[in-house]
Amino acid sequence: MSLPEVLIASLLLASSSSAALGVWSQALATWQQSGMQQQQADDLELLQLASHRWLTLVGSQPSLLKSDLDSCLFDAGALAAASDQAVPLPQGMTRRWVVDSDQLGVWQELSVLDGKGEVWLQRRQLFSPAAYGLCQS
Amino acid sequence: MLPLALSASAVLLLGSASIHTLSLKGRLRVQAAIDQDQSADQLRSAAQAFTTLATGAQACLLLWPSVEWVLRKSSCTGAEPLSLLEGTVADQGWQLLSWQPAPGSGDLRLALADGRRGSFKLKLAGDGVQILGLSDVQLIGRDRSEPQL
Repeated sequence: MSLPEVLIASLLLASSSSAALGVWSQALATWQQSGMQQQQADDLELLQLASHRWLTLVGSQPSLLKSDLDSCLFDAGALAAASDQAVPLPQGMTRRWVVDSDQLGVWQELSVLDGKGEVWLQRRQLFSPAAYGLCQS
Repeated sequence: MLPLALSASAVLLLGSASIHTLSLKGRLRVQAAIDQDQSADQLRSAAQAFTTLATGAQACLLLWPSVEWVLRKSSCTGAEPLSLLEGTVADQGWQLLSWQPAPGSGDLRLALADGRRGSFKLKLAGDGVQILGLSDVQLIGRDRSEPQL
């Protein structure tokens, strides 16, 4: 076993170990990020379902409807206040109720924010009072 | 010593490549699950829009299967079946595949413009024209004959 052979073998092992460590650490970061994303996606799905079930149970409250219109529409402000009480959000999530531009209902926008306060993951669904028995035909 | 070092390096590099592939597969699986959740949201939104449109004069159409709507139009004063057959929700087009009423309920099947399809169970009042509730979506796959957007 000559000195050059030992040097080359050491260099080879050191560089491959270093490269492997780099890849493992990147894989670990990806795996952790995927796990966190899955957890937050599950939380958003649960919130989405909870909102639907809440409206199914209490949707018959006329206070959630706009009173100044003949058409049957949710009052986005009343919905926001009532949903914050009935379906509270975990930390790091936000909810917005936005009236549909075609007056088909109100959009619930659930977002997960990253450390900088920017939207990282979002779910968006239309809710109509007609789906909960609030609109007389 | 050199062959041993070469073998050890190869094992290290191949092992790390496998771990990296596994982590990327996990990431793709999570992304696919998120995409499916968002598809479900679009179908749920289309169904909610359908319930909005199926009020007023159109509500009368809920008494009959969608295949009979054009024939039954004269029985429902002011009803316009076309308004329930397709629509747009947040720039996403949807199409009614079928509406099948039964006593106290009805089966609604919708397709999005990109071919994704879903079915819903609607709870109806005794008069058969007022919607009282909407079930969660049952995804029924994508129709490959539909154009992909």
